[in-house]
Amino acid sequence: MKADLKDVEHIAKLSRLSFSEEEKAAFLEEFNNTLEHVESIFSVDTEGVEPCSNVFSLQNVFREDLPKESMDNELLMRTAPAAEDGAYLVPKTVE
Amino acid sequence: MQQATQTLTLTELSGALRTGAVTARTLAEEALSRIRESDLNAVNYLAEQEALRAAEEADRRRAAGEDGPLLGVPVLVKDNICTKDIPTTCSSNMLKNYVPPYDAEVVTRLKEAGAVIVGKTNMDEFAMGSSNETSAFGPVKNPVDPAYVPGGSSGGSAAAVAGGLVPLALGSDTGGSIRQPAALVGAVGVKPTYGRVSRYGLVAFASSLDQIGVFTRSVTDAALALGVIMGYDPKDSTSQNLPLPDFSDLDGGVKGLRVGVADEYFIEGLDPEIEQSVRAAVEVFRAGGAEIKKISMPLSKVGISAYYIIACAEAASNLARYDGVKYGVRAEKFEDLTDLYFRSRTEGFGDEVKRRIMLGNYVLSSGYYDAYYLKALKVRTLIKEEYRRAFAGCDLILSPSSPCTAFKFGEKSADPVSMYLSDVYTVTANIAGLPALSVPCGKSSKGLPIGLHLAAAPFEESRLLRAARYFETAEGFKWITK
Amino acid sequence: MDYEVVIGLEVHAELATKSKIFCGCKNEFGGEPNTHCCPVCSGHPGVLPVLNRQAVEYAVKAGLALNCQIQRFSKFDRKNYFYPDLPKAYQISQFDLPFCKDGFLDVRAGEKTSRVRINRIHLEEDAGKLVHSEWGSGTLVDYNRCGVPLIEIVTEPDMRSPEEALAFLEQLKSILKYSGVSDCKMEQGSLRCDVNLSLRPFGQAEFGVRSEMKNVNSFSAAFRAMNYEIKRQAKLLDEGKPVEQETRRWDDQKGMSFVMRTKEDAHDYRYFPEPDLVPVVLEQDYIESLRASLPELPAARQARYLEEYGLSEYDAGQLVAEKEVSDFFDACAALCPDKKELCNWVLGEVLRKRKEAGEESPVPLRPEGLAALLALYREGRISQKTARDVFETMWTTGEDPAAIVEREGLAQNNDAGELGGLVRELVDQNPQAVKDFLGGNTKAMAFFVGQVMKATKGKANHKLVNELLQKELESRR
Repeated sequence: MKADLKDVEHIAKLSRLSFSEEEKAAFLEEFNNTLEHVESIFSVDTEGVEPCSNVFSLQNVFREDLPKESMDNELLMRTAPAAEDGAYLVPKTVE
Repeated sequence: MQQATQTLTLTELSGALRTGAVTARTLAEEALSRIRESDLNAVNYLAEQEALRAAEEADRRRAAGEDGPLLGVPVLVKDNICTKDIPTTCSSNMLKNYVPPYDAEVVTRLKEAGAVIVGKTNMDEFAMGSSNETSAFGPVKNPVDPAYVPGGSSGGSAAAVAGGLVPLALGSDTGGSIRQPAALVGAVGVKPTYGRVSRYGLVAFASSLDQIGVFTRSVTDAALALGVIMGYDPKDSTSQNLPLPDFSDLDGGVKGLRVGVADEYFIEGLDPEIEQSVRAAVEVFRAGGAEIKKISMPLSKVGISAYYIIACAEAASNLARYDGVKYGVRAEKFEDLTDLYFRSRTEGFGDEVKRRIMLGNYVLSSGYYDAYYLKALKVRTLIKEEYRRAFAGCDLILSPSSPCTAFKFGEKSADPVSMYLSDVYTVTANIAGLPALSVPCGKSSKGLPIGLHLAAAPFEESRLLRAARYFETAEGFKWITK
Repeated sequence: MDYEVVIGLEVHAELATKSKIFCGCKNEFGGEPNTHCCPVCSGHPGVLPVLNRQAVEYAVKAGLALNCQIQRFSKFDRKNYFYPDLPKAYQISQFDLPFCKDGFLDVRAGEKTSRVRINRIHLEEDAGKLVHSEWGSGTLVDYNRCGVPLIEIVTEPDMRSPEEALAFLEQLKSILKYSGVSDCKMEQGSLRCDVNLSLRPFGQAEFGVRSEMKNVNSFSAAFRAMNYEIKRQAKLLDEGKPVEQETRRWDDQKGMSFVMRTKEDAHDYRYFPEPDLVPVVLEQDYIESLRASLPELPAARQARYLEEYGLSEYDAGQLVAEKEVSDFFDACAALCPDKKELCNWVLGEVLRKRKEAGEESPVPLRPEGLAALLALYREGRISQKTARDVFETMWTTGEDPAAIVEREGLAQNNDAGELGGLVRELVDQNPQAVKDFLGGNTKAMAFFVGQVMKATKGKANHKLVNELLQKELESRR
């Protein structure tokens, strides 16, 4: 399957990445090369095979419902690029 | 002492500390000084104050009667492992100012063992790469020859250990990021079974494939280091609650060990000198009494493809949190929220990271999920099965670690696919969650290191390290980069 | 033209666990921003989720209470999208293998009962809150609510009127509260509802195009939103225009809904199995033990009130509407022989006082107290008015009714002699009223009764007074 420019634009939007027109074109070529390569899995017969999401089939890993001390607001928020009154600050959201 | 300590193994340094021949403080100062003088660009952040404090603390603890294999030993940690109050950048502009408010579990264990963390190593950006050329902070040089790459993504950790900066460095391995650079620089690189080492605090690349592991200058060292970082962690739901592997008898030899070798591994494109070296290694095992068995691993051909689809899909999701809102770098100019996201991410990520995010979102997107991602997960089941069948008839699987020796800067970076193929021998161990390692087994005619790859069945680190130890002693450590 | 209304609901309920779903931070409403947070729920690099066992238990209990099939094998998936209230830029939810499937709720709306099928219930994590900055600098992001466990209950489009949907919501809330899985406080956001509504001509098998409405913050707002949407869609259809498949935002202040997202803008969530969590396998004994641990649910309790206590369906329905009230009723009923009388008191005085104190506030009375009060009244030791007064005092002070009566001298006057004397006196003093009574004016009786009650400060035995007056007045004929 070959991707086209519209695919690249759609995926870029999903990824929140911007590309210039030249970048998009160059990217498309590389992308299709990579796709062609990974499509080697299409040749494998997977009829009746279960997908593996969990390499060692662990199950039922839980923690108990015991509240623990939260992290101090100042320590946690130290990494914030912009903050106000203990909250992260972003441009006004529309919804 | 500096010259001497540079080439000492972890075991030897630990011994010297024990006898009092040297103090942790001295070792730390020497390591810091070597790093400062080094032009390998292996270290992103030199933790001078923290290291000296930790070294003094280690000396105090030792004076109070404490002992342990890592107490007072200078170590480096890959820059995608969170260290509280010490920058953790993943060698990306996106996180160049990120200082975590918490320690990764492995860092907590290192500190409890009294290891002295002297800094954070350079790497491929967000662990995506096989040459350490995608780092936003410049490439790392191979200590064997600075015109060559050290491999990646844990290029900094590999170069630091092979280059004698420290005897132990932590790395991470998602598709070969410990084993491939270990091969290219001439060090020992071990990736444990998936779930043996906690991923809590490892900045995620591909969650179902990532594992933290070690670079050392000997197999015994690796065993000591693994003994400190392995073990159940309730903060990681994929952590295995099992007893630690027994490393007490690594010198048991390989008599009767069944070593599997697959024809599929000797592919077109494999450097003939590597083939020669690896075949010679097979003979070393045979001479020790191992039984060499021919096995068939046809799915090794599609390993890279399945790996790329799964890894990029998980990465696209794992890296979505980098949006300039909570931490990391935020674009300076933006018009609104959407613009903030686009600009911060476009400016913050390098090209390889963007490529993989795009591929990842493509294979997960509506209409393509079944054909690519779901298919790759099914192929994963088959690869696991293939290994299970192979391990029914052998104890270890042997192959080259990399199809090529170290290459020159820029040689492969123009063609992403050719770069991806560097991982052809290593990725399937991540897909199946197996413990695997690379030990040096030769040098090319240009003097570049060659690595031997060994993989064992899940949770069989003892067997794996015993075999590697045998090979190392049989070869007399002659291949370790000096 | 008349259209058939088709409604489906997606209800989110926050589970009443003590800690969050994937980390140990407190699950508590309110608090200064980002003070119930840690690197895990704030989505820092390198963090990992670990599943809260209690959240699973509550999700299963909710499913059992709603007649669902509990799935033996379930797993979590990532739902990927960008929004500032979602720190990891994905929500850990369940996509194809939720905990519960194929349930139902039999809904009483007025005289009708209808079955609303429940498609699924799944467990997921809540997102944070966004608040516009007072200084106009932008939007403030608070992750206190991130990671609070939620169950999402998705119904089939089985409802055919806003009344039915409202009844469903009320009964759902009641069931969730009875099972103890959620406190369902809509005003605190622990119960939220999205409405899917479409219209179709009667008799048409195909569904019409539906719109989804969000930001419906109370049951009454849901009711208003549904009615608005019906009118809006009907108008479009009447004019021959198509209804667009949209996500709309309900603005209760303006009484209108606005387009949020069109079909084209719809998110591609790229669901895939969550690699940081492992699947949950539930054994049958575990499920059965949870089923056994469920308290008597509203429908069953209501049926019991009808059968055992002979209460009317309406009264029983009123009692079971809130677990606390019916728990209280049950405790009292064990001590009171006259259940109907008790029911009147509970639905009357108890609910009245409770409402005064604030909706859903606890009942401060001891069941023994109310039972004792009713016994005093039934035995004629206090009058009805006194009983009410004593009730007021008991509610505030928690004192024993007998102690209050004793202390304030409120005992009913049953002394026929004394009352008889008083009656004769009053009759003597009010000849005109006597004449009126004998002339057939029944209001005159009320006058005399009132006078007696006034003279005895309300403590006279009403019945006895009536008897004595009747006799005395007749004797003056």
